[in-house]
Amino acid sequence: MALLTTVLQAVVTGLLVGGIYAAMAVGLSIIFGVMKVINVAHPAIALFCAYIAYTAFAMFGIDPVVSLVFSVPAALLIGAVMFRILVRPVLGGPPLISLLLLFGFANFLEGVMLLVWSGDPRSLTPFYSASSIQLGPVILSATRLMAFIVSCLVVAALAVFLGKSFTGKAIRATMQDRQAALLMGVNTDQVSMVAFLLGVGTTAVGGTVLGLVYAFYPALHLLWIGKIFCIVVLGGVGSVSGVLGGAAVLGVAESLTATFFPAVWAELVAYVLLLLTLWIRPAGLFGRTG
Amino acid sequence: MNARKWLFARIAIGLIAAGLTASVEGQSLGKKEIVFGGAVALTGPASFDGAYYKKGYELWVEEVNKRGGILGTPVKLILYDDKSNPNEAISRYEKLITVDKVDFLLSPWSSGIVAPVAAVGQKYNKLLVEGGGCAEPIFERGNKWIFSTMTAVDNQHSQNLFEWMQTLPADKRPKTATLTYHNSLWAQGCAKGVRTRAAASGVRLLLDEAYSPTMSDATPLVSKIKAANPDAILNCGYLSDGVLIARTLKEMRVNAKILWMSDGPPNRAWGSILGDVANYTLGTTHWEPGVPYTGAKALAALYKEKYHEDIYDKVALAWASLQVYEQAITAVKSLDQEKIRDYIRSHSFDLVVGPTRFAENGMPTISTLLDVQWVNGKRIVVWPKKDRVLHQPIDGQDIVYPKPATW
Repeated sequence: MALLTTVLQAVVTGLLVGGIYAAMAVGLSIIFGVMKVINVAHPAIALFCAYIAYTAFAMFGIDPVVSLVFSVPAALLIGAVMFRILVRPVLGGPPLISLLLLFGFANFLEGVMLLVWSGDPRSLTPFYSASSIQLGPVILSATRLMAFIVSCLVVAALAVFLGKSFTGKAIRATMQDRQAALLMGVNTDQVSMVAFLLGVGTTAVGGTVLGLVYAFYPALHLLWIGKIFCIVVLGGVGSVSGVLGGAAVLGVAESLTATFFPAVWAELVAYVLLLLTLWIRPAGLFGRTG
Repeated sequence: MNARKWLFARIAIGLIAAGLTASVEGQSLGKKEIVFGGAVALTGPASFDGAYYKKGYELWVEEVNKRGGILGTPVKLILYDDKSNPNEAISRYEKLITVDKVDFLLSPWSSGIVAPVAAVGQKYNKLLVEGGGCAEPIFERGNKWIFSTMTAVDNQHSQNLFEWMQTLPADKRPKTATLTYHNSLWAQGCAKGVRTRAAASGVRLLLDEAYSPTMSDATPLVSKIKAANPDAILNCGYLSDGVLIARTLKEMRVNAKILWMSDGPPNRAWGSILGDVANYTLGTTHWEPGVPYTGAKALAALYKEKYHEDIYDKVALAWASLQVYEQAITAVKSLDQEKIRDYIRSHSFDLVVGPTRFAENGMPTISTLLDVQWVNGKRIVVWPKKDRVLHQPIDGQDIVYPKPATW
């Protein structure tokens, strides 16, 4: 019984952490799927949004989730500028160029955050910070639960948008075959911009959920880029549900490992999973092959 | 000559003499300026503490130049960003030595970066008086060019805690503990110290486990602590991981008589990030403004005036390393690395971190670590009651023990 409780706790915890991972990774996956651009500045923009939420909370006491009202437009604005100045001119070029440009932009954003908010660690601390809910034998962290719910809502909204709307279908068509979509009359340039904005817009959610759970500082983005890229590859590039699956698998695998083995092994699991996936299912656990 | 004229004459003679001495002294160092150079983490994961080293160095240079420099020679500072990366630090220090040709090296922050930088200094026979790393391996390599103002080594970090436990009546002492630690150079050393001291004081360790510096969830670790149900929860780590663990302890409703988290609670951001969760957490710091050492209170006031915020230990450690250089240069009246090194090794220094002498391996021979506890939003010194060097009382209070079960 005790063992069952421990397993249950580990699985639930892992799923909740998976929610944070999904919020951080889903935009990266869409952008890469449509444009084959690896947005390494993704976690840096997320942090920027976390700082916006922090400022709104510290100055006006606005709940971090409510402050998405400000941080999503801010992310969209950053995304639009990035797309115009950095991404569009090099679209279709060698991937290394956009990678370097975006890495440079990530460092620039880190510098801006250092200047504005200093290097001191911050955190979003609404009233439910560090509180929890007991469900039978399992304890749910309130902030992680909040993060999980918000992530699920966003991912679900994205899935509906991509699946049902005309623009969404155009995005998916462009993901599958850019050339064919163009021949069918899809304005792939416009679709690229919409997809880029959509992807960058989700970073606001990622940043907010990150800020609810962790102490954050401008350089934290460097620690996240590897992990979220791992999730995208795990789940299958360009697939929204794949990202959700990949994030859940990674979260649960890490949690189970840290529960039943030395905690340091948890990090290793991410990379072992990644290698195994690349070896056995190169298109990702939930991706379509071929 | 009337009295007034005589007074003017005396002042004039005095001024000329002072000017002569100053110019002679300026020439005696044979340089227009003394250049201090270093790299600290201004970006990257270590940047939040790196920024305080920068502030400490800049404040010192400003103050020294205000009083006319060292022996009349002004002081200049060259500071780079090591990006929290040991490789970047190595190349920056190579440049400082070979291209910028600085006179003296300043310390980067954190043991993991000080260790390779110390090796660079050693390669070029260049002195490094540092206040940024106190892990033992730095001092175990026979390096004759390093001295540290961090008046402690990693295994002393839990000294205060275990010493204080011995003052409790036997039936009140914690009998069991869990030990968790950040898997990095300094924290591993800290954990080693906890193990040794726990064994010596009869505290049984129910859990002894490392966690990754990039741990994204502490729930599994805290579940293990909860299952062990210890009297004392001991953690060797830094701020971010400490925040995650402390919050998870609250979420999982794990209470113990002691919650000691080494380097997290001394940080000025600990209380503002954790709010109520910080209450009654204990930690170990190198320095607090309330210590009875020369210049400590003045430094705290000066820092507050310049930066409009409260000082904390990293600034004092940076400041103290420069005090060693200044006191040695003034005594030796030369910038010769070897002469200054020999002087440092054989003399004692009056620093803001206490009167200090250095052992053969470069470590200070005294320990000035203090344990602090957060009580209602304030960081309060709780142990020791008297400092270990001058045996003078330190401003502080008693430890709140056992820690109230606040969650």
